[in-house]
Amino acid sequence: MKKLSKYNQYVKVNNNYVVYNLKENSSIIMETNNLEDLKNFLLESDDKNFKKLGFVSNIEEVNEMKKMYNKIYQDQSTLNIMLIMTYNCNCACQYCFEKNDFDKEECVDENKLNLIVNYIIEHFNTGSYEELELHYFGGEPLLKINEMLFVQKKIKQSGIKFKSNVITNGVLLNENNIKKLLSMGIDSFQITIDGDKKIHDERRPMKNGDSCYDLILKNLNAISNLSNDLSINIRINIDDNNYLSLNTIYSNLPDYIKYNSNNSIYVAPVIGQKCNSFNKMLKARSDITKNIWNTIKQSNLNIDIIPPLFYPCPYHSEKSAFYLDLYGNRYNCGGFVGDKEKIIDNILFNNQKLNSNNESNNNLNINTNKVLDSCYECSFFPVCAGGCNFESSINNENCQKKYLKEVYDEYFTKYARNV
Amino acid sequence: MRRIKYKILFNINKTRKCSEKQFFFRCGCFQGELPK
Repeated sequence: MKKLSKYNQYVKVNNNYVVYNLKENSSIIMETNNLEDLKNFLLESDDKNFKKLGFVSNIEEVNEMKKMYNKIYQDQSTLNIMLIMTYNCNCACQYCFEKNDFDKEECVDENKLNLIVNYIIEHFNTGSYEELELHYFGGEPLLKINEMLFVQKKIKQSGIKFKSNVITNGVLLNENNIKKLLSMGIDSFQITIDGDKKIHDERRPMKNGDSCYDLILKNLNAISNLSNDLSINIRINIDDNNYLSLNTIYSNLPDYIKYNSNNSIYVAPVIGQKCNSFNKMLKARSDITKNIWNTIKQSNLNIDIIPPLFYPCPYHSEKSAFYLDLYGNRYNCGGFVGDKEKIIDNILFNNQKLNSNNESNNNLNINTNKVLDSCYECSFFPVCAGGCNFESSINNENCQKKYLKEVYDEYFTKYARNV
Repeated sequence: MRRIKYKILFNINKTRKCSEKQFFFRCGCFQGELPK
């Protein structure tokens, strides 16, 4: 029997209604201001478009959604490992979230590195993975460049199909280092630039308080002259303190970053974790997201407007994504990195489970599927998938429906374009 | 049933499997994203 999709949302815009469906990512505008008429028409019309676009359905949608989620949860096409090369960092970003439970001057010997690499190879081979994606993470991973090169070499020798990238502040990405990394097949980098010189240096100073903005731009220039095959992702962390200067930030980026097809610019609305209530956090996040979209649209900035999506993230995969440090500790969320209480297990000590409150079904199963049954019934489940593990741990609340409704209404009525 | 005129605004018609790039970009979860 034909039913209206659970994943529809209806938004009144002047005398019309915009209907969007988050399962199919589709939207239509209908010439009526009567919601009941609209729903009846969707149900009774023989127009095949409505089924194709997901607005009506004669299948059991919740079961289908559960299957879809489980497929993503258990997907083993790519093994994603965020390898935490060090907890140490040469910058002191104002907003750094990482806890300092570890010795930052740790020394990792070749023997330990071999154990880590062997574990990665073994984990890859015991699954049905087609490819390994290795993300070098930290602290600042380039402080351990020699160890990175060692890992890279060993994985290469194993014959595994893999690719790798580095999430770096860019300070040590000088010509000498980039040549070494390129020679080992590392050609993709995420570098964060938070504003013009003044803003960036305020938010992301060196540990000793020095400026690093000019140095990062100098490094970017050197990189672009070295190879055309490099992929640079510039990340701009936007919050209340710098969103008004998005234009300035963008215009201060070198042209080769703006226009090279290998490169991309990622505007990340990072706001909320430190708000003192969950509702305030959702409101702040909704406001900043809408402000950023508006700024991008008004200024014709060459940045795609993409609405929020919760997954895939390590929390939403069973064993195909996790964070791993060089002590052998694993985390299922980047927000927990450096927090000893949140370690799931240690791969160097026979997968020893370190925290009894982290449920684990077997040695390699580091994540737990905590999606509530009621979540599958929610219109926003296709983009939320039960939410964010990190946020639920700090807020004891996780449902972001209110925020998602606000930003998706805005997205589908103002910014969504056929691609 | 009253017929209602409509216009399709958006249909990305994408598969549910996100690209690796999306994983990379979304790994911190967009809503709860961490400022790395």
